Amino acid sequence: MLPRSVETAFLEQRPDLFGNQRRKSADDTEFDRQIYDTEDFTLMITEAQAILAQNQMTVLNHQPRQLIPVQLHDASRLVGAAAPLDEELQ
Amino acid sequence: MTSYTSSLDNEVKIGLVQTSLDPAAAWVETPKMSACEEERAITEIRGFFAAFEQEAPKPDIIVLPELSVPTGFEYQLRNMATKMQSVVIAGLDYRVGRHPSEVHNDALLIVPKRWRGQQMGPRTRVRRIGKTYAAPEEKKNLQAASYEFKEDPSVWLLDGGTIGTFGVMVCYDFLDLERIAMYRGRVHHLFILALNKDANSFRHVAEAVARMVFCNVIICNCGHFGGSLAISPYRLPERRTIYQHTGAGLATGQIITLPVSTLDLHQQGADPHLDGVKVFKSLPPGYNSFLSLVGRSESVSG
Repeated sequence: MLPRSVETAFLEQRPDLFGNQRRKSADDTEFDRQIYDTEDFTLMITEAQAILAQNQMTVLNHQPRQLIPVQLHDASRLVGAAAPLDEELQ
Repeated sequence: MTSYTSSLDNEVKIGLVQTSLDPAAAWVETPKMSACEEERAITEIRGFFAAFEQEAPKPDIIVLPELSVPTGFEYQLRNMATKMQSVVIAGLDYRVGRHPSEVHNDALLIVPKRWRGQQMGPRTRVRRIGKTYAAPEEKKNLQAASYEFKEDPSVWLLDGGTIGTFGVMVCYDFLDLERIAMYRGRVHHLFILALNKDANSFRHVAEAVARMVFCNVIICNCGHFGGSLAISPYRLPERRTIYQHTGAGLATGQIITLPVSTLDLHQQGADPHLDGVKVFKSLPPGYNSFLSLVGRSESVSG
């Protein structure tokens, strides 16, 4: 996992490490997807693959094309080969 | 009798901007916008954003034409989107790819950290939506300058929550029939960023696509050629064209309102009425009724 994901998981599992036992301190993990282990990760990949499979189409010459559904909330978090992290743009 | 409800908002506000960038002066020998056109583009973009800032409510989405944003202005544009709390869909100047001879033609999708009164994420983010097919003249011009157009095959379906779902295309991709077929029955709005001399032919395509995909079609063309427009498949012809700009060499900005919930109801088959008159045209054949035509063809041939 990326360092940020590890930290996010710890925030939830070990709030004492962050002085947040009462869970009242503000954190910025609202928009982070909680991934605790490889099983979680595998499940998410499987879900994503199923959604992508539902959005594949064969139109001309039986060539497959992929429609990629994204929520605007998530659009800001995805990172692809042609989409560098915004940090790189600064 | 089936009852239909829509959880979507009644309408969405779109800020449509045409900058007056002159393509002949902007890209001379290299696919990098010239300094004077860059300066003009930035001045105009800032001016229209300042004008939109005065509006209440502000536009939900601001659209800028293909290749209209200088590459160095991307970060400032992101800050402007954050301040305005508007999603920005804007064509970015040619971007050099992994190899120095490759260039991308992208649309930027800027999602502000706060939008329509809701927190969207910890910070404003930018995503790129690439152009799949270069127009023949574009490809020729790039090759003449020893550059190669880098295709992006991705087709994105963006879910904007209560403003509905939408797709974004860059210019020539609007004529990609497969892409249009992929969007049919799945979107409420299609945004096309263009730098197109023949805005008239795009208008005819827009009318056809609005009816066949059954959605709002918004074309944002560069002001040098003009012809930006927004069409919704209303039944009454006088309502169908929501916005159309005519005239070349003009920088303009306009805020328009597009239907969402009534369109969504109609897409579901509700056929809403206003003052006793149907609001929208009939849905195209096969839109939400799936006939198994393969089996019937077999029975005919057999």
